[in-house]
Amino acid sequence: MSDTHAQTVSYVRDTMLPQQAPPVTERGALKWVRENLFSGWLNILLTVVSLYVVYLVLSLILPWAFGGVWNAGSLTECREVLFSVYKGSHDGACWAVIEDRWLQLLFGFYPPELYWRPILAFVLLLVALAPVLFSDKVPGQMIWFTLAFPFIATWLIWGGSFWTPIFAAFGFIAAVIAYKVLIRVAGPIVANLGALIAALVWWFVLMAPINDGLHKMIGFSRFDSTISRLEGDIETLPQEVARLEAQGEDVAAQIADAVAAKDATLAGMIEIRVEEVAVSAQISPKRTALQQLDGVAENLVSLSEALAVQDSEAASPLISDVTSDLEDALNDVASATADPSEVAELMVANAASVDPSILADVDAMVSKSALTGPIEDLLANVQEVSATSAVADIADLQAETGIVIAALQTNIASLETILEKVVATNAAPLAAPQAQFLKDMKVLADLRNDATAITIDSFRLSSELSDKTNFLSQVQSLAEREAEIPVLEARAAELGADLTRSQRNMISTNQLPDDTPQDVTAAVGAYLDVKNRALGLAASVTDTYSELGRIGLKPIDSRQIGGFMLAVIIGVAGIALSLPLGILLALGRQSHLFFINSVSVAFIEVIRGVPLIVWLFTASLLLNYFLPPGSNFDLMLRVIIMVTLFASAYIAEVIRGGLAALPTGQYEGADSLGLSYWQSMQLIILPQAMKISIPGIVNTFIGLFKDTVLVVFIGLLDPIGLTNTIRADTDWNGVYWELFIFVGLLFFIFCFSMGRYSLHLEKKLQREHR
Amino acid sequence: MTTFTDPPKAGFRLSQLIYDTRYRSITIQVIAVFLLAFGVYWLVNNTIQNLAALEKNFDFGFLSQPAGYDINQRLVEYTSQSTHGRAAFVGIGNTILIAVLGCALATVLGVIAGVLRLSKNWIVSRLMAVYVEGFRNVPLLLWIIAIFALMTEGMSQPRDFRVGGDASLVLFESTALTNRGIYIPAPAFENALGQVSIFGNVQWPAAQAVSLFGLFSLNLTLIAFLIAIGAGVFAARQVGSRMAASSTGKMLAASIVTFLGPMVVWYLFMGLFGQTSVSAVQMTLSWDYLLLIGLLVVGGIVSGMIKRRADSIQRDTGVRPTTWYLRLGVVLLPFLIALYVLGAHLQYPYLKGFNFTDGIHLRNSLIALLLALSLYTGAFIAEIVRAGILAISKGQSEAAFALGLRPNRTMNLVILPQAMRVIIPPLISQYLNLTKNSSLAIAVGYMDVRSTLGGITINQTGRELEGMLLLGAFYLIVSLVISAVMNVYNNRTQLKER
Repeated sequence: MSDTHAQTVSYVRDTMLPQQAPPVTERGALKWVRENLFSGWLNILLTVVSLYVVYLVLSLILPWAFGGVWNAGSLTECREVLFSVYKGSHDGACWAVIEDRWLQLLFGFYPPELYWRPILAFVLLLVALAPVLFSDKVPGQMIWFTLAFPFIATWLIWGGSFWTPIFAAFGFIAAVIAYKVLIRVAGPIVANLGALIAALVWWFVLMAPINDGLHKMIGFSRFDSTISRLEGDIETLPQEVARLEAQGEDVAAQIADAVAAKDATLAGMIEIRVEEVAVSAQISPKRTALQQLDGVAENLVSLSEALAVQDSEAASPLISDVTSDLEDALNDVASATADPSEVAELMVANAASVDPSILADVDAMVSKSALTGPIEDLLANVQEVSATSAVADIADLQAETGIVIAALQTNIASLETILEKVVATNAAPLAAPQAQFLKDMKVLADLRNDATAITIDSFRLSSELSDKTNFLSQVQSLAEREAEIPVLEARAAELGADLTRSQRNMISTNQLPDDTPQDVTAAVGAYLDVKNRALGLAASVTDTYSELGRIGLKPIDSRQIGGFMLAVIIGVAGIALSLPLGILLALGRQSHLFFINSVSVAFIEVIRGVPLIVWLFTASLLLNYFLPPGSNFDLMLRVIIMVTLFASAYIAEVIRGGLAALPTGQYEGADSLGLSYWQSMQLIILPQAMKISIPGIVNTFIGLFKDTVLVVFIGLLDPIGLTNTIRADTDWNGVYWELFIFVGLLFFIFCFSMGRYSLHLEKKLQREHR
Repeated sequence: MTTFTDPPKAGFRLSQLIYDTRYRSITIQVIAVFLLAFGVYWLVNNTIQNLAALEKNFDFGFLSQPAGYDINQRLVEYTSQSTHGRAAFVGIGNTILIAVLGCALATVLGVIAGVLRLSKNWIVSRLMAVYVEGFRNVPLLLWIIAIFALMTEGMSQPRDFRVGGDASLVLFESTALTNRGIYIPAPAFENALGQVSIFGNVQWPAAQAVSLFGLFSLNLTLIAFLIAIGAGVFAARQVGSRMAASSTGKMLAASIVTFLGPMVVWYLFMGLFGQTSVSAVQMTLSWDYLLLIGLLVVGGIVSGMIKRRADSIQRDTGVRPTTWYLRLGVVLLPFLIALYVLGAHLQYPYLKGFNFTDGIHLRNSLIALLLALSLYTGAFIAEIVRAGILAISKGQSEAAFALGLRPNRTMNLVILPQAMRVIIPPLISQYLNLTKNSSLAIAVGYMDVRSTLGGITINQTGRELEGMLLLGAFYLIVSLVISAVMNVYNNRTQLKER
């Protein structure tokens, strides 16, 4: 009976026991460490090994990186600083090279006074990217700015008149207008075709004359005022330049003084440390001798074995080894080191006050003859043994060697103690010159910064002066050159009257067949010469007018663009231009039209099958072959075209993945609504496919961005190319790691943050699709 | 009385070409063909004009001219007197060498890093994350030149290896790490069997014309070429039927096999471009290695036969005979005996004069390129392996345990086969990337095909167009072959659904 049983129990707990804390090993950090780091023998091994690796790497890198030198004008100075603060020449980084050249690594040879232009373009790039990357947080109207950004950025970076980008953009506007007008009167195909034709006509027929005309008009109106302005400038500029040059000479003299002061301080430090050097000079040859004696000992063991079995063939090379080792050791000790008494004399002579205990230590050391004597004896004994080949003598030799080794070891140990003491005594007298030296370097760095600023200014002004002088002569000869053009053209027409059309279109007489008569070749040559002169003159007149009538930013040559800026420009341009092309290719690859499908597939596979570097060489070596004769354009533009084609194949594959990931129902739904192909793509398929593809597109972009460094091989100045340029300077010859780390870190920051963004996007999209 | 009438048979109107979906696709394609043809014509015409203006022609004859430059690393005999074609062949060998070594090393590194990145050990997984992110986010070129600088600036000079110097051989006194490269022991045979020459003294017929009754002449080379095309078409059909990929992929592979194969054959053997002889592919092989490899292959076949016999005994009787010692024996025993008979031993490098002699010299360029390529690709492979392992749901291993399978059999029979299906396709595409990235050899002066054919040869002969075409074709063929292999594998391991 349960109830009676209950009554028999005297006590029943009616509350829960309070929860006890788990044992120490099962809570907090200790539990985490036990579970994560030391859960089994394999894990313990892994932990220990990886901790050791981390220690090894950090102990190598951290002292080097944090003990680096920031103030120095060259690698030699870096090493001087490291020497002065008690470090070997390789035990500290020379960050001074980054301090000196980081602007160059970022901007290449872009004029320093115009750095605001690429910086502004970069900030605007971030603004323009916002509506694409964070469409949920940014108002949709921002997309108009994104569309306008390419034109703004091009203008900011390359300069020119402010209307040139507007004109370029107008091609698209013309296309839209043509489409809107034509769609009312004709079908979509006609409207699309009309839009295309309108844009092409604007770009290739109308734009250049209108642009030139505008420049000419404004140029005419400013003709006289420009001449007087230029003449005024040319008069005042030389004074400015002379003033700056005088300043520069002044600073250069100051720098020379500062260098002399620094060198004097350094010489003083070297004088204080001369005893250290003397003592260390005693140690290293003895260490070498010790190693050789160790070798002798080993060889003696083998020798006794060989002699025991009477193997004279093996013994004779061993004996000669031993002999030569002993001779080397004797040479090291006897000629490369000094007697302790000489060392003591040196120390007394060089230092104002020498610690008497050091001198006592030096006196306590054995004399040099006490070390060389036994080795000489040993050598003599070995020669005896080689004559007798007695095993018993070998044992004696071994014992002797042991004694010599021990003596040498004691000697080295006492020298090391002395060195320690010398270093300790030198620390106090060195402290003042060390501080002085670092101060000298700081002064020098400041002076050099001033000098750099003055050099940049004076370079800018003198190039401005030469530009303006050139330009003035061009403007003054403008009327004359303009008048010559029709004369040349008339002459060309006269010369070309008897020639055939194909002969007139040639670019060189090389194109004539081999059996052409001499007089025809001469006639064609004369005609082509006059024609080319007329064309060149017309081009130079247009150039002068476009400079004369420019309202906007100073034009910059592509060759001046380099460094990280170049990587960003090529990367962004490549990805932006390759997106539309990639979408078209992806659609082509999905298309049921046999021809379009196979062309797309062939294009994508060929582009992806060949490395980018081959394509870049194609751009630099071969693109001129494929374009109409005589056309020659910017290498950077060629690279952008090639990179665009390359990236578009990869983008096409990414987007194809997005298209394939959409359920068939989406396609069928669009069809059942009666939408045309382009409507269904534009309204239903592509928005969804693109959304899925964004992570892949970002990854392609990361790859493309990293690949932009390959342009170094065709002569563009990317960051890695600039590291070579910097090393070519005698000041920085031999600097590797500091530059590599700087460039690598820049790329890492860019690519890692893009990778994180892509991961974030993947997670966000994943949740939406579940 | 019938009310049915045929629909009115309207004649074909021109507007149907645009508005009727049946004809529109044809219209669009015809327009596309014309546009493409025009584009191609434009490009070719420009090229012809430009070439004419430069007084150049389109001719591959330069491949049979003497190259006149040295190649410091070569797998087959080559002197500066050899032809440009031979130089290209040597370069191809070097590219393939770096690609194969790199793929193997990258796979090892990647698998280790990928597995360790999933480790519960916090430190290890962080360390691997640092490795993966560090290599993935910095340009490969930077890694290549950084490792090259480490090799040339950070290692000791050969003279430091002299007695008393501060450098010494590592790995049981067998390997020297110097700033001129790494010297490792070389295998050598005391009773070597000698060499065998391939395509050594064979004279192939040059182009000959045979006159038929004086009416017209038949070019023997043309006939040979037609036969080669026929063989190519046959091979392409075989490949196509194996691939079973999309029809266009098939078509592309087929067309490339059809045309490029015979072109290569024709060039190499028939003297297509001038007097090119077979010397471009001539090489000598060592009988010793042929014998050893042959023994291993035969041993493997015999071992397979033993396994099949054991399988059939197990099927019949239910008892599996113990065969592992037999199978190991037939592979290893003849091999070891052959090694002994040939007197195989290792030849250690030693210092002679200012440099090491004997042993195999791995140049700095090779080491830097190999390490950088495999570390870089290994980081990507690590991510692929990690994704592959994570892709297998836990239910699979739980189900395997429920069936009573032990952990290692679960891994071998259940997890790995499924993970491999996820891992292999992206893995192969990484191999492809590695092969293409090996063209960065230019940064360290490794003599791959881009440096020989696409570099020095182009600079010396001025044949940019032909050289770049051949170079592109080489990389394209390698890529297509690798992706064809990948497609075959994919089709074999694909889940068979319905």
